[in-house]
Amino acid sequence: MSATHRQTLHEVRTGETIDGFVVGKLLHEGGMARLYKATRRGIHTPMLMKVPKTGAGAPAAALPALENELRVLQRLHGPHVPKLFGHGDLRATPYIVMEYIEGDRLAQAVARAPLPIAELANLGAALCKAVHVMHHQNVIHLDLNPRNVRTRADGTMVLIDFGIAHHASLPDLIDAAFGEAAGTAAYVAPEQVRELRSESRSDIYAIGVILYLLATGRFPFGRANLLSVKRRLFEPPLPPRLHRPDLPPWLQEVILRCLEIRPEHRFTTAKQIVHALTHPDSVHLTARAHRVRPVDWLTRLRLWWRSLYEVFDEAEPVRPFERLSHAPHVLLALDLPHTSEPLKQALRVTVRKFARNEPHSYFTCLSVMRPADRLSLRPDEPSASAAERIAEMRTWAQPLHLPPGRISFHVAEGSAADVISDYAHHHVLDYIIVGAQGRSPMGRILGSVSARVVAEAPCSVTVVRPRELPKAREEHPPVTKGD
Amino acid sequence: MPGATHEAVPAQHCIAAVKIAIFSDVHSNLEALQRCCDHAAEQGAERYVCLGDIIGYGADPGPTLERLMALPGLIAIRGNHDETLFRDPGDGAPPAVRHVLSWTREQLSAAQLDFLSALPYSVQRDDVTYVHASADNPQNWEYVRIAEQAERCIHAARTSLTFIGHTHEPYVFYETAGGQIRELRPASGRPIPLSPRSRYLVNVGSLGQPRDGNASTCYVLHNEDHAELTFFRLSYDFQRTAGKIRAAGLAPHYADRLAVGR
Repeated sequence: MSATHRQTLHEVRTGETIDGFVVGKLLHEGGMARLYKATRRGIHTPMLMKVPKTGAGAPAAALPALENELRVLQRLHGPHVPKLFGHGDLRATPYIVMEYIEGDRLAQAVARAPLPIAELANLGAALCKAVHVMHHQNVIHLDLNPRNVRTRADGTMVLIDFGIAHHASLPDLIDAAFGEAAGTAAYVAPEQVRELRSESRSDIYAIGVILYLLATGRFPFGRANLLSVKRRLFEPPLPPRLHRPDLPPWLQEVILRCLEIRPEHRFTTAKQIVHALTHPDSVHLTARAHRVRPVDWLTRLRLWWRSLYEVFDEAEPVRPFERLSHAPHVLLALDLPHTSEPLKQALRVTVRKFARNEPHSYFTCLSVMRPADRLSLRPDEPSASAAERIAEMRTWAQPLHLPPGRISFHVAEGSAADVISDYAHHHVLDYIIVGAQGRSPMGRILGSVSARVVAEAPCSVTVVRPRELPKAREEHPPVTKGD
Repeated sequence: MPGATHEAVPAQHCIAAVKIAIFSDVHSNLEALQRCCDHAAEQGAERYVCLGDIIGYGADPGPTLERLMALPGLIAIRGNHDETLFRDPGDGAPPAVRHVLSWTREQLSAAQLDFLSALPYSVQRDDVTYVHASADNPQNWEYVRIAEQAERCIHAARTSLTFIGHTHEPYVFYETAGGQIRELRPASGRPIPLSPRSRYLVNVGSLGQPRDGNASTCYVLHNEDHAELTFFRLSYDFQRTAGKIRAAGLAPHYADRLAVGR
């Protein structure tokens, strides 16, 4: 917007009433905008009014950032983003009013870092869940940092400040060359340094920086400065275990995988990180997990040389949500004690096809036990039969030759359909594969588990049945055409 | 050639209009025009803009023009097909084109021919330019397909918003604050917000001869009040349109391509 336009803009301040919103006290003054408390008759949710700085000396990017945030917030929904209540005319009185979320548990946790592993895993998983839901709605944040994450009373993380976010189906007006897409230096991914804005795995990198910070109390590249920003293009960060020797290898594996220079070497989706943080046993350890020293000078030299001609590909036309479907989390509901050999075989064939077509897919095998099946009385120790179930599933899965990072095994208790359905909702699954129930009289009376799973699942369900060969019927000999 | 000028619209047309339906390259396709106009009316369109190439290819030039000329607040622009109706298309023109042009001329009334001959090359209204091919020398009928061409068109128009047709492929080019030209492929029914700090070149696709591999007819609804655009792709009875083309003895591939949108 030109300078002449700028002078006609009205900057809203405390004490004014505009479009029914009463502007309260100033809560925060940032570089780009001022944040005020806001109230309106009939609305009881605490509200925040964001007013961009527009006067003399205000940054040129203030208005574009507010406009971008408004466009993105208008298209996001769910518990992980603030609810939007209204906005002013961007050509006259620019402001937006949104839900005010008071909690800042993540920023407080960073101040206390290094954190206990369990607390770090909980916070990290909650953050990744919010990021995953955002990616699912085609938005890349590009400025994730602890200050841009708020917390609801129940621990739900809420992402705020979409000033430089990218929405895959909107015109992207943020122009890095114009100085609009700086991001926060300590958290920007290598490809962001190269002004790429359509890579959802840039957010995965920022998550890696946050996890690193929570685990060690330090930034992967030290305090942000021009050199540390450039260094991430050719230097892997110091392994977190160098700062904190008691850090478990699996967690270092997760953190360093997020911080890979090339996006394709990172986790594909934030949901994979949720899974890793909540199921440490399922994390496949590589050389990353065991590094305790900086990389040697030869590797550094090689990476530096590579960085000179490093090209980060434009991710279009791949939209974030399309990429998510490339790394589906698949639940295999197995009831092996009651599964015939042909069905076991058919289940394996289905999984093999799936694994081949979707190279980034990962599988959780779930076996459900009735409470009566349990032998042990100690709830914290897996009972003998649970261990047997897991061994049985491993045996079944062995011919698939899936690497440890792609398959994990789980035993739960309860009624099968309920457990599967709960698990699918809780873990935001993409697919369920379940075997068809046999045609036993018992199945008919109780209703089939697969039918209930199909009816209640929040995602696609494949019901597998072995090919039934036609039975020769004595009374109807086959009729040949033309006879 | 009377009326072949770049016109500014008289003041009485400038009363605050909220929703404007914009389409191009009708090519005598009555069924598709009917479908889009009915849909636009349901969406609350108050005015209509036709970006040219009203005739050619299709078998309904007369009824199409009749329907078009009755649309409220119509702004119509000259297209290359409309122009060749009054000009020798040159020795290089394929026989099928010569045939459809002479056949079309016979189907039209004197009033309809007058209407077509008086169409302007471009119209500018407030901060919007309407033109058939490119605002950069409209008479050259350039096919704007890449960012460099889009940039020249945006700069020549000197308005925030420029609507074109001609290539039969819907797209949006826009300019960032730093002067980069970027492209967006629109999705049907999903509003695209227009920022006061950017300039846009909008290709509304083709209403009567879509060629982007999607046989659906296409138009754009411009909501001036909300500063947003929505592309609509709608199914229509293309079998009927194709049947008429064959029955009229026009080139059969004009009919065949309607089913595949190529």
